[in-house]
Amino acid sequence: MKATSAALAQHIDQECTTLAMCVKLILTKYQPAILRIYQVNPCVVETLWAHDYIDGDTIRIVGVRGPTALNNQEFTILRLNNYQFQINVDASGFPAYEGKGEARKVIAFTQFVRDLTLDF
Amino acid sequence: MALLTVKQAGGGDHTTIATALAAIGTTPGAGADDIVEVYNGTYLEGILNTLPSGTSWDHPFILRVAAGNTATIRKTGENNIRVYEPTSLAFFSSIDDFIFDGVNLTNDQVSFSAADSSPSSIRLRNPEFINTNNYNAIYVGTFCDDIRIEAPHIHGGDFIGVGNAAGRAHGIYLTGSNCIIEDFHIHDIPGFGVHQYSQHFPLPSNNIIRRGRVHNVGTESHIAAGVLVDSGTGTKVYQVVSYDNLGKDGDGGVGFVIKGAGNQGFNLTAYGNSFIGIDAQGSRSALIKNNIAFNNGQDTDFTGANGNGAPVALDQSNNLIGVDPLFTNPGAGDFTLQAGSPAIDIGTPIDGLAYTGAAPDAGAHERGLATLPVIDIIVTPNPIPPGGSGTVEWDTDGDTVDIPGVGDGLAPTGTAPLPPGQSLVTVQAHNVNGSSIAQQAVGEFAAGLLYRATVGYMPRSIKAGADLSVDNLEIEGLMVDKVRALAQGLLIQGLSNEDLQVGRFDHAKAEIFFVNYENPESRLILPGSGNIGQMKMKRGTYVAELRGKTIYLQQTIGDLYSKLCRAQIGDDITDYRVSGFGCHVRLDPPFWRSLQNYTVRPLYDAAKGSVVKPNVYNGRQFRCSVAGISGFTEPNWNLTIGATTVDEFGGTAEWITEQAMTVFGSVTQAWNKRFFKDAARNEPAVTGLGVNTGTAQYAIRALDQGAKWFEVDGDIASYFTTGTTFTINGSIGNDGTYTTTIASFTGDRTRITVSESIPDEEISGAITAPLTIPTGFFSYGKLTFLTGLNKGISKEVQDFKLAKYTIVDVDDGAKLFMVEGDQTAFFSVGQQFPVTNSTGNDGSYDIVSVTYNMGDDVTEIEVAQAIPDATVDGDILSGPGDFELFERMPFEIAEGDEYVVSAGCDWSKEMCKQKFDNIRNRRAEDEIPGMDIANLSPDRPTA
Repeated sequence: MKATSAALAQHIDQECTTLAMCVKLILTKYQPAILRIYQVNPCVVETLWAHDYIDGDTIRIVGVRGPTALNNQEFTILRLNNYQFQINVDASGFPAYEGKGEARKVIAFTQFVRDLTLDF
Repeated sequence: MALLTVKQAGGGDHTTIATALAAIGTTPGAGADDIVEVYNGTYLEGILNTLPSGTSWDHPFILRVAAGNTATIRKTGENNIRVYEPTSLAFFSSIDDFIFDGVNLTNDQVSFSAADSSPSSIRLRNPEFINTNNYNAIYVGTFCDDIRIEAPHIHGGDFIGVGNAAGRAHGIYLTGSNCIIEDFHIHDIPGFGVHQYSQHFPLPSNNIIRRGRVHNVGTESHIAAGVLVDSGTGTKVYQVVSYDNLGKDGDGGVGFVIKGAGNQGFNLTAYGNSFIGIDAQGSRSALIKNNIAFNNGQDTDFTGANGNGAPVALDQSNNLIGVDPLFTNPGAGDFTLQAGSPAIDIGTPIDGLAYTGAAPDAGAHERGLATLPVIDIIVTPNPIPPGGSGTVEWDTDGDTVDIPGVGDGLAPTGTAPLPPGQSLVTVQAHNVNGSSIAQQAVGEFAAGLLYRATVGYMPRSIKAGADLSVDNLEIEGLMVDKVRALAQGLLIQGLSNEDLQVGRFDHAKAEIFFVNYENPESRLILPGSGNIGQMKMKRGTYVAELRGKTIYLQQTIGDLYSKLCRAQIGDDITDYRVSGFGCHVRLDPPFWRSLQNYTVRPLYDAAKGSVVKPNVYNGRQFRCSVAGISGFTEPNWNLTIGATTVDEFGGTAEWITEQAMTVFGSVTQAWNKRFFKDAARNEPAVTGLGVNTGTAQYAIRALDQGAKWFEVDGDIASYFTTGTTFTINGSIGNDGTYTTTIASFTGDRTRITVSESIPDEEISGAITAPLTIPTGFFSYGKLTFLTGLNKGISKEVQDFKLAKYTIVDVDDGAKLFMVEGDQTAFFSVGQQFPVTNSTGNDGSYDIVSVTYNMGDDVTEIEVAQAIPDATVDGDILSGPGDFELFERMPFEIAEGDEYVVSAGCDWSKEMCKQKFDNIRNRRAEDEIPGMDIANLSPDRPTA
């Protein structure tokens, strides 16, 4: 049995009923492979095939060789074109990209009645 | 603030520029708000790392020619101006109104940056460049940022560059980023006007090249462009006229080259260029809009695939091409539009560009706007980070401006912070003729992740045990089928039935937590996380099964002894605790980069040394054979497999050419979801692999008693030559021996026609035939579609086969092989192909020429190597290549679909040695005995 966290215990003690469950899915299959990561600010990511992302989509970067600081980080993106998008990070000082990266789509849902924007 | 004057004849503070600059010094920021004014004269001195710096563009250092004076800088030696120290400094320095004379120079007139330095924020205003005899008038290096070149006039000189040849250098050679070149006039030079290109990272990006005229350039270059943008991303070229560029031979002049991912060319005018007006051939997602191309050798070239073989996705529209735009006087360089021009109001609005009428005009000049204010605005940063703030910088020709949210009646030039939350910055300027508006969209990164309120998914249960049992959670209703969701107005962004069918959600990582929606920051308690396992339909909705992290504790993880290699091809795992660690074959090596140390890739071990791929795909990769540093510029690769390329241009490394392990191509014919053909694919299998041994049973899938044929899966037609006998076993009524009349592959199955009658109509039994072992270069490799319905979906290649061409004649003296018919489409100069099944010519050959001899109806293939045997027999293997996938793609494969495929491995020792030269990383124990041997009992001892 998992241990109940202190935060949850406090919440229950106060008999609050404002908890909503959230689910975040990070897709892992058939996700756009990264062809290039430009060392610019904001960072530009170029994918091997059309990524289909739109402004505001969230992606998680994984598997990158070179600028490894990007790995397992999540970013909302600004679409530049079918193959490129910007992420909110200054990559001008990062090492050169050496391959193997993926830009995985992140989608999220909440049980709450309205959309919620959370810090990833 | 200090004002120092320089007068050669005396009477000023200094008589040389050098002493004036030295008085301020090069301490960062020492020149803030200082001005050095230079009076009439020709100054035989340069500014070599002595440029003072300011602290911001509001507090710059300025070196300028005094009003009403003319000052020329004419140094003898390398450069008139060179700035690369202190490195990485933002100078905020401006050099205004000088004439630069390169008659006594041996290198660029103005050079910013050295190999690894990055001076930034330097401005050249109103410079004139004459007699540029060696290299470029202005060179902006790779690491430069925020270099501003305003109103340069560049003309005259030899521009001797690479190879000590005239025309090999350019007016402005731009390899930096975030730079602005504007209001320029470049003409009568031997090289390109503006040349943005680099193979070095960071690539030149986000530059602005605008409001310029380029003409009569490239006079010593066979092909030359007025403006070339051919690498990097995000560069915009607009309101530029490029005309009458003819090239050295009168047929190589290009107005504009706009290539590279995401670069943009709009409101351009290309006229009278001898070769191409606007060349976006092979561009990837470039934007080409609102342009005029008229009276050029060829007005546009928007064709072709890019260097990666990926599809062209050129965003081009609203252009006037090949239609007389009614210029006012093009012969005199006046490309304004006359009334009634078909270019008027056919454009599409572009951020930041003002226009009159219903829509912008095409071309560089907006009719009717000349008398209205012209506004330049720059928003930085763009996009603005979440919660961050930006500034707007504006510049008009003396007209006051209004900026909502900032103020009204603002000065003609200025900078101001933007209020937060702006998505569109609007600047309106006024003069006696009216007002004009310029707008700039401000992208803004969304803050955080949006958790959508879905239709009320129902976590059915959360069960977590301490006994390592699986944490199970079914999330019902999370995935709503599209039709139902649409009917209820509940379409969930990012989800579709197709995604589910394709399996994009399989194994997705899931994180589940609670949040206090009254105070979302005060989350989070994690009741579970893991991976999506199975997705199924239940009561009209999708139900996702979540598998907890402890499921992995129930799985067998670890290495066991095995005869077949346990590594995954291409992985580079080095942790011995991970099962299958360490193949290290570089299927997709990193791009070659300049000024890097590379080491020798040794024999037998793919884990060590350097392997690179070119920055522009050429079907090859290169293994380092001599350690050293790479050059400033990518070498000209020798594409012959096994040949050596020396890293020229200052490098010392040497490279051996190899077949690329990852290649790009497109479908030329598809039969179904598993079989397709690429006519251009001709990679031969590695010689010596894949000897067919033993026999296998092939189940009969169809038969026709009347036509007397059987069909089996796959392509095994080569085992059934005419007269071959075979047996059928296990059938209801057709067991026996049959003789082959003919066998052919139908795209999915092999059909074997026999001479005997087929007694039973029941489809049953199996044919015994040799065991097929896929040997093609891409067999067992991973193939991913880049376009089409299957975009992004990968499947394993079951087999890759080349077509077999029977040699019908040999001319060993002329080194010719001949095959029947016109096969020129499948052979190309430089291609290597194998000859098999010959008496004495088996081996690999390089093609020198390919000719179709119509009289004899044969294709003559001339090879570089000697042909040792004149016997006419054997086969040539070449394209087209046929792919067979293990699994069906989810959607139909269509002609033209682009794909990328990697070399495959069958885990055998032979393949590890011969194909990948990687035996030291083989993860198998080839010599362990099999189960039969292991279970043998020793013989009873004899007395």
